[in-house]
Amino acid sequence: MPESITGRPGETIELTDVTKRYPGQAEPAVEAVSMVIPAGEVVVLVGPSGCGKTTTMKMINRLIEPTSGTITIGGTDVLTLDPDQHRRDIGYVIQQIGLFPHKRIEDNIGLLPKRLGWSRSRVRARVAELLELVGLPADYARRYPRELSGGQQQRVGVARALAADPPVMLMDEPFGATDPITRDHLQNEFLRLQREVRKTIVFVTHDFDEALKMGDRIAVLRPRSVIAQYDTPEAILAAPADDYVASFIGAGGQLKKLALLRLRDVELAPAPRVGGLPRIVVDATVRDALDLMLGEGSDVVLVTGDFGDDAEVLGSLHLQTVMGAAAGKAGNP
Amino acid sequence: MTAPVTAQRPARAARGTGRAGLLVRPALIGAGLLVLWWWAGSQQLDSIEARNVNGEVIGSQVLEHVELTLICTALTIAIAIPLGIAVSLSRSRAGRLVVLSLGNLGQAIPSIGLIVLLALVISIGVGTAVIALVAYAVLPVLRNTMVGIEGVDPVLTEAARGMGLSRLAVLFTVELPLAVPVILAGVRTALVLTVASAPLAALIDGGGLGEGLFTGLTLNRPVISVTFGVLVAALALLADWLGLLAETSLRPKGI
Ligand SMILES: Nc1ncnc2c1ncn2[C@@H]1O[C@H](COP(=O)(O)OP(=O)(O)OP(=O)(O)O)[C@@H](O)[C@H]1O
Ligand SMILES: [Mg+2]
Repeated sequence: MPESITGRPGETIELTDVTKRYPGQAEPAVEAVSMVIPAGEVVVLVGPSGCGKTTTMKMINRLIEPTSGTITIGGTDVLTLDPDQHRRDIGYVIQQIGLFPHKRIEDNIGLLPKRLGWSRSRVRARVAELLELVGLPADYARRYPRELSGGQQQRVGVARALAADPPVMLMDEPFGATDPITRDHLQNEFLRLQREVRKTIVFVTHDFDEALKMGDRIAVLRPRSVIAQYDTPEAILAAPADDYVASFIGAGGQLKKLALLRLRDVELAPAPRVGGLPRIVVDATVRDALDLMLGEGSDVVLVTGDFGDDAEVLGSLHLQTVMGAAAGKAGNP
Repeated sequence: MTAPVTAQRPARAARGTGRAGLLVRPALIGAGLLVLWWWAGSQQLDSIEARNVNGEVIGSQVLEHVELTLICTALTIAIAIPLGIAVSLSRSRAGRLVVLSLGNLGQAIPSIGLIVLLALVISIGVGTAVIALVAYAVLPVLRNTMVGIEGVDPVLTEAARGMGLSRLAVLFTVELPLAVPVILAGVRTALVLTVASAPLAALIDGGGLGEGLFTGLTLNRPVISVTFGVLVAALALLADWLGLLAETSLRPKGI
């Protein structure tokens, strides 16, 4: 492959004491935020409506200029860069998708590469590659946005943001406008994609469950973007910093913890020689396994390498292990 | 938030009724002209009438009229669209207000008043007629250009800015193409307005179908005034139809 999708790996973003005060407002919308977003990670900003998530994110690509503080990407102060030049290195996915209705899908995706002077054949190859990456048929390139469903448009939005292979992506509630099933599907695809591209991604959502699923790290924000806790999903679930964070986790914290734990990361027992046990694939989570146990009334399930009755059995999981997993995580931080 | 401005709506009907719907208009105009020709031919013409209602005079006046209209419309577009773009780009509320009030003022003055006034101030002749007609037609194009650009979903301009397009690139790749239907609707209005007001040019020696019309009126020869009146109406309808054609064919695909 001459042009690999994983071309430019992510770069570290660092915010230092960043404040935004909109003109004519008493309180700043964002107050003295400092955080490091490590290269190649997905950091999710989660917080109530109006707490400043979008403002914080748009200061990174300078659609909003900070009132004070510094932002660096890969060590370079972004305020020293030409704003348009700077934005070309940052993929931006907005909640309302914002595909250009008068341009075909290929021209929506290819717009920036073309402006950057890529040859026609290179742009065409890039469009085809990205459509495949986001799971859309190649002939959709010739369609207009209104000929696509909302979920399909959202994928094109992601493809368009990736077009010029930016090291950094900003995603403002990218899956907000879809039903739960499509959303779940898009999230899974996105995670698969990110395993390939390894960009640095700032991801905004209101939905804590989405944050748990998508984030390598989560920043729980209070109003004015003040950071209540910034840590991995596991650490936040295990030890919420205060009641505010705990209220975000909501009910069912233990189950959420189990949902983060994949069966492949759990020590399995050897498979018993009895037949007729419920089966589950190793890609599923411990929570899925617990659900299956409850549904089937069995305190042990077989873990298989793949779907189907003749798939290889890797081992078995007992209810005892599930309880241990929950307690172990909860017990010592 | 914004000054109250109503813009001419772009035509959608032509789309709904299909291309065939677009052919009805010229057929009706043709039929009307046939009736006119039959009626004028059946009249007993005196010498004054015969001097005015004949192919040569009609032909040359129609040509003058069309010429005058084309020049005026071209000038109107050349002035109004760039001005509308500039005002939208500057995002200046004051500029917007000034331009719109001037435009409104131009249109509030009756066209006949404007033409006579300008003739008094400047001089009589085609040049003055052109100035008056353009002043009168600029507003719809100007207003629709501004409204068309401002009507583009801010989400789209933000998406374009966010991918690193410059302000000008956003204008040319996103805002203007999406404003085309609205701008063209304004051009169509201006075109019809010009065709229909252009007879007034004859009052100040500007030529066109107004010559025949006013001759008929002043000499009390209904055959002459009806003939030229119907011709003006037919031209105006034709201009409107051409505008519709342009709107249908130039509307960007996908919207
Ligand atoms: N252009 C603006 N001018 C003035 N105030 C603004 C502007 N944009 C946002 N604000 C204010 O700044 C605060 C933070 O807004 P922001 O859009 O960043 O919130 P958010 O966390 O993204 O909310 P949501 O989850 O609803 O999208 C809000 O109180 C909002 O009213
Ligand atoms: Mg927001």
